[in-house]
Amino acid sequence: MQIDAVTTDAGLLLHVDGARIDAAIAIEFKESVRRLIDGGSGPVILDLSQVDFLDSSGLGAVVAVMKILGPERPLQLAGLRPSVAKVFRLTRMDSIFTIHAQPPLPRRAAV
Amino acid sequence: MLEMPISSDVISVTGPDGAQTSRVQFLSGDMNTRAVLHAVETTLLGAGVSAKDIENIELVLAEVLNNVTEHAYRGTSGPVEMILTIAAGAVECTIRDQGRPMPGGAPPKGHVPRPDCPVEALPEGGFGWFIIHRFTRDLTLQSCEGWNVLRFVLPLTAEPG
Repeated sequence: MQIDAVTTDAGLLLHVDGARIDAAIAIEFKESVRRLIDGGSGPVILDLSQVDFLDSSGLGAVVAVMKILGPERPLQLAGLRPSVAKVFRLTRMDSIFTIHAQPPLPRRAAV
Repeated sequence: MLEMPISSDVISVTGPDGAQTSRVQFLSGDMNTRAVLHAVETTLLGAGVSAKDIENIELVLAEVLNNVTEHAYRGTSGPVEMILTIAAGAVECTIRDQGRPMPGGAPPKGHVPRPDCPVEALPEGGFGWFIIHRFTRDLTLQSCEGWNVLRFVLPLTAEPG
């Protein structure tokens, strides 16, 4: 699984380039995100638009990331596919996160 | 211990009543779970189950198999057998393993946090059984000749397509 970090005006955008966040990848996902957010500040937006399967292990990993960030750095979600949105809704975790329909655009390079 | 092939091949037979029974035997483990879920998805599609139902079934089976890997066979790997009977309106499922029995012998209810739960107190696990119960009925767990046997019914909600 590859995760790309992009700076946007809305915060640090993490694009998850993988179709599944499941038990096989949950720990690697959490550790990859931990490295990318280390030392930064401001909100973090997780772009899940490529993810079409998320189980409770994946959900637990997303919750773990939120805890790592702490109260000063909100974790937001973007681009949830219906199959993934359903898991957040069922477990009522959709009320915990700010969820955007689309990820924010990358910050344009200074002229 | 029963001899089992390390395989995610799904063997399917159709009975006189038209119900299709599919069986897959494999060794527990996260990557085998992925392979089996993929094979089961293909089997269910071939049996005419709708994509929406398959999505829910895959989620439930993932949660059950994750529990087998993480709890029943924690720290080791062992045989798992899954039997799906695909009939009109429902898929009956039996999953058995030879790992540690469920503490207390009964399947947990599972839980979700209250909406006002503070972030630092949010659970990172325990959602699995909640999801399993949400999409199943008639769920039973039995211990039989060294096997933990979990049975449940997955009602089909959408028209075949």
